[in-house]
Amino acid sequence: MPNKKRTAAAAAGIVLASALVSFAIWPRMLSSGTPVVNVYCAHDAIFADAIFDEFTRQTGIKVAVTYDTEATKSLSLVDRLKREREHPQSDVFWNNEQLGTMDLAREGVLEAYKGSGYERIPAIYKDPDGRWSGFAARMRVWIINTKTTSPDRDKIVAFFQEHPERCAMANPLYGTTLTQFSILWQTWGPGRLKAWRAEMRKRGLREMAGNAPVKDAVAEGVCAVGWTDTDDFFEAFDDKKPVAMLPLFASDGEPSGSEPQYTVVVPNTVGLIQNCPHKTEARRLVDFLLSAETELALARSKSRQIPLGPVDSQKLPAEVRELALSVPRGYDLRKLETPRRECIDWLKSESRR
Amino acid sequence: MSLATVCAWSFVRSVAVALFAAFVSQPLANLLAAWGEPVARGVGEDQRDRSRRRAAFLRRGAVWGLLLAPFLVPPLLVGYAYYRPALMLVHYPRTTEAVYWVVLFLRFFAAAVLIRVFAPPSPLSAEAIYCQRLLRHRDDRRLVRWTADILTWLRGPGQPSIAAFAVIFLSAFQEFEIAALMGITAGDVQSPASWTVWLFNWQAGGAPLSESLTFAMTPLVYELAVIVPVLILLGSWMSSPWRVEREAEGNSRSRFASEIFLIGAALLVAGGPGLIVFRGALRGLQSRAATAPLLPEIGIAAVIASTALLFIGLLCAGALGLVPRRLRGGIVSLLCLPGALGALVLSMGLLWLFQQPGLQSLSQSLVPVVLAVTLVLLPRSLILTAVLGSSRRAHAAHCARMLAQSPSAAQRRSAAGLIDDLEVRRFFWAAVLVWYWAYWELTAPSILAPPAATPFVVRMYNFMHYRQDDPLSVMIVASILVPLAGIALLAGARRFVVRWVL
Repeated sequence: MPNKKRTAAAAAGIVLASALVSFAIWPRMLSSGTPVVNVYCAHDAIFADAIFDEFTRQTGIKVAVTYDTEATKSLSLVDRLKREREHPQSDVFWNNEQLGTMDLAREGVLEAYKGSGYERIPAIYKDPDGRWSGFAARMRVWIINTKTTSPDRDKIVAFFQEHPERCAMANPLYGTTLTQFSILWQTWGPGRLKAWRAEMRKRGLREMAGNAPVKDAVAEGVCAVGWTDTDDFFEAFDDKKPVAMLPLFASDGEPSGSEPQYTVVVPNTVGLIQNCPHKTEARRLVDFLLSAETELALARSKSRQIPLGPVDSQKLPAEVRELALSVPRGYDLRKLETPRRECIDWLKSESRR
Repeated sequence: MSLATVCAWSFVRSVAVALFAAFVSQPLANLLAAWGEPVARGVGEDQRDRSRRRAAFLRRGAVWGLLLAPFLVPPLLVGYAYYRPALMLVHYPRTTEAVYWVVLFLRFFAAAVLIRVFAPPSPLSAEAIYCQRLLRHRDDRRLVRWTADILTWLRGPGQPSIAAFAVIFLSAFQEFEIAALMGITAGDVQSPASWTVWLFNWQAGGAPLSESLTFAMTPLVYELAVIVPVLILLGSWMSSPWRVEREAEGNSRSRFASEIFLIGAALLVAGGPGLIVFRGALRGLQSRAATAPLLPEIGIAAVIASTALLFIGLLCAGALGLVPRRLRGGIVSLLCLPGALGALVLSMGLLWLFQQPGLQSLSQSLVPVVLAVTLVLLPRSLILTAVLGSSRRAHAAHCARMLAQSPSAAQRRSAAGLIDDLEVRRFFWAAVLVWYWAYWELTAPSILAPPAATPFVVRMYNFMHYRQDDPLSVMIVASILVPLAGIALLAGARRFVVRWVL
């Protein structure tokens, strides 16, 4: 009798082990039969999850998402997509910025698709060939601790130049700070940007791991002023921290009035992957992401993303309505392909020193 | 800052932490050895003896709990807890660096203590060393005497210290999660630096994998510079047939100091994070601010951990049970080598491997991540299995097995209980420990997990970079409690299963 039981226990163990190994080799076996779309997503999971859930609810298509970590920013997904070009694993790339997506389009990773959503986005925020389109944007802003500094533009710009040791920005190698640096590379020229950064670092400007730590440092009063994005600002604002924001102009730092005051509007972008395995489902997701419904949902989320296409403005939160006024004044990021590449090369050579 | 500079700094930090841990672990190991002495039990035992025995048992459990708590707290939670203090110190990089040193030390010193407690004692007794000194010529120069003393120390009483130093050095040198969350950077201006963060950022910055792997050679050289001499030194220790029994030392003052230290370490590395997370979770539940507890992701982490545990069990049993004794050292070293590279370098290597034409189809499965977790945990698991094997009471277990053949059901039940106590329970908890490490492993899945199979720990790491708030605390507590509930169920069922099988 005990022998029979031992055999049964051993058999149960083998079955369990086989099940584990099978699942390890083929993790999607549990969802076989359900339509699915694979997405690489650089947008914050806490906000993107709700959008994907709604898409699945409406269409019945399951969304398998690979998120980027805050630490790696979107660049690791961009790199991954380039590596997988011959054997694409993802169907859709939802990037949280524009320049990396443009890079992918240039390298032939993205496929042209002009669906229903594409038409409603302004020309400045989409690829004329339809390989990608922007939607629901963030904006670069000054975040100011109101206990230590008053939110006056001229004073803030002067304070940043005079007291960099009390100011913070994120590592410019990634994300929206890279976008901002690419703009400076183009508008200031490489020489001036390099000299400016060297000088500011020497004088103690804090370069933090990301925009969220910049926001935290200013919200906690550790730094007085910083550069961050609107979504990070609103987190501190919702937590009732003593913070205020001012839109960051591409020309901040220039003598007043010397250039038109462009805002730095950084849209989310979406693109269809060339030769992706689930093209039909992927197109439906791209249309869904570029719809007014998604833009409204993201505007009403805690991150307050700014709609780029036409939406019912009455449904927008007041602060987003105000931010939306800056959209037509956004810097044309499509001109930044070369500056971005050169800027990354420079920043990487700096970190190797 | 260049990788060479960052590596050199990480090396200095890790050596300092390891030296200090190796030094401090001695009195703590003595404390544990003193508490490890069996408390007499027998005929004529009265109420007072029983109370004393129970109190000693509880105190021993408390001391072990305090020792292991900092070591077992997931590094992610430690980094999460120290994110805000590190942020407040942004203008004081030296203080941040000092805090990181202290956190590393408090987190890893338990490993040094465990090595001293469980590793074979010195092959040279104090008497032997004394006799050796007597045999020296009086007119030997001081330098010659010192050299002889150092060589004796290296060959004898110093060997547990060397083993402890090497393990702590590797753990501290390869540390990534706490550094990343504490804002230890890749060497940006006026901030502490870590090579793991440097390399991770370099890879994340879109560098070709081959380039990142080339860069990984620099830290590898530093690791080998420590591992190779240590293996040569310890080789003679592990193969020496002579064993001198360890003597428990320590007066009541050093015992008191050790206990205070253990309480402080447990509070700083385990208590602090625990308090932040559980208080936040309570507030989150009260305000109903909790979000979904990542159940599918917890399930994926559990599958990865269970599959890795399966392979680890097979490899450990094979290497330590089936391989002939003369080949064992080589096979075990070979199995430990990939894990000794650290999760970051190993995962990047596997990423490259699974991008090769023949293996690319597996890159979308859990195979790469399971393989990485298995290899990362193999060194620790092999040590654990070897320790359990060496402390096995073979004769008693054999008798219990013979009793299990008895025709009497009552005797078979007793035998099942004995076998559970002598054999199953220890390996069960060792397996739980390895599973727990695998479940909380972050670096390998963050690099190798396929779409739709991201374990909770990667998602959580992502969230932890954004904020420290109540809903996230609810998620963290759920990620701790869900597997704990499963482990409790299995632990409860274990005895019944053993009885049923026997």
